[in-house]
Amino acid sequence: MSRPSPSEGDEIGSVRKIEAEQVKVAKELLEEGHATDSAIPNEFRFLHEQAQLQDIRLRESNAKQDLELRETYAKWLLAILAIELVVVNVIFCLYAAKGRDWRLPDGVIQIWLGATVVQVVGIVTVVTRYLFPRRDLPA
Amino acid sequence: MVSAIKTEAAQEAERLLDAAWPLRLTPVDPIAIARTAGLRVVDAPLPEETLGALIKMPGEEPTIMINEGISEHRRRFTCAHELGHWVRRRADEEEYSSVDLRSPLSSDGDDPEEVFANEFAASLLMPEEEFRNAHTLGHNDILLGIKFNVSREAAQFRLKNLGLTSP
Repeated sequence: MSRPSPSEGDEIGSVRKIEAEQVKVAKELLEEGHATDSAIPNEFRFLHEQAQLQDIRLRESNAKQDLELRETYAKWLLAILAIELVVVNVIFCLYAAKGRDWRLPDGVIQIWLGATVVQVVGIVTVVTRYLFPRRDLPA
Repeated sequence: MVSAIKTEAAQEAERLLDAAWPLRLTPVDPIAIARTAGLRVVDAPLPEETLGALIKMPGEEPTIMINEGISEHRRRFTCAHELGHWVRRRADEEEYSSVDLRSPLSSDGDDPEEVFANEFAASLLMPEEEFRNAHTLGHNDILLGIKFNVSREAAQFRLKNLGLTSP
């Protein structure tokens, strides 16, 4: 950095002197209560509150959408499960009554019924856990 | 050196905008930002040659003083400029003071503190992304000045500093 010439040095010194005087004046005005708080235009008031409100509304909207999705999902899954159970039970009854004519090996219906039970239990468990997560476990 | 100071000033302005002006509305209000940041902003009958001052007295909040006789544009720029001086101060400093004088009297334009404060003020009042977007939409210096509530000259300087040309 170059050193200021004598004339530049005088100039800087005089500016510093003026600045020091102005600081003194400013401090006096402040101490004597001659300063009034600057006004903020109306549109800029409560901006933080507005931002918080916007954030709350966004969270609320997300939560609502999430709830609606869960509701739709649960309804459809339960409906499909109900239909499947009805069909399986009807087939089971038919098989029991007229199984001889079908000539299906016993293992087929056993596996089918067993798989259905596992499927129903599994889906209900998964759906229930998702819809009602345990609060004592981390998300 | 000057370029590094300007880059730092622009980054600091962005940081303050993110913290205190999250909705990124334009025009930016430096007074609201200063208050959010914990400063007091006052209008005062300062001497004619003084645009503004930053005063911190022991045990009190830092105060930005604005000359009550200056125009709206100058007032906004002065407030943003003083905010620029404030961000350079350490949070634990108990007492400091500075004043900004009108051009013929003001400190050298190469003074790092002034370079920082000027760049900070421009970046705060005319955030780069929003300014570039408005420029891309075809706003010229006059419209940019209106949109960001700054003087036409300030918009021209910003255009030049960002390497843009007025359409």
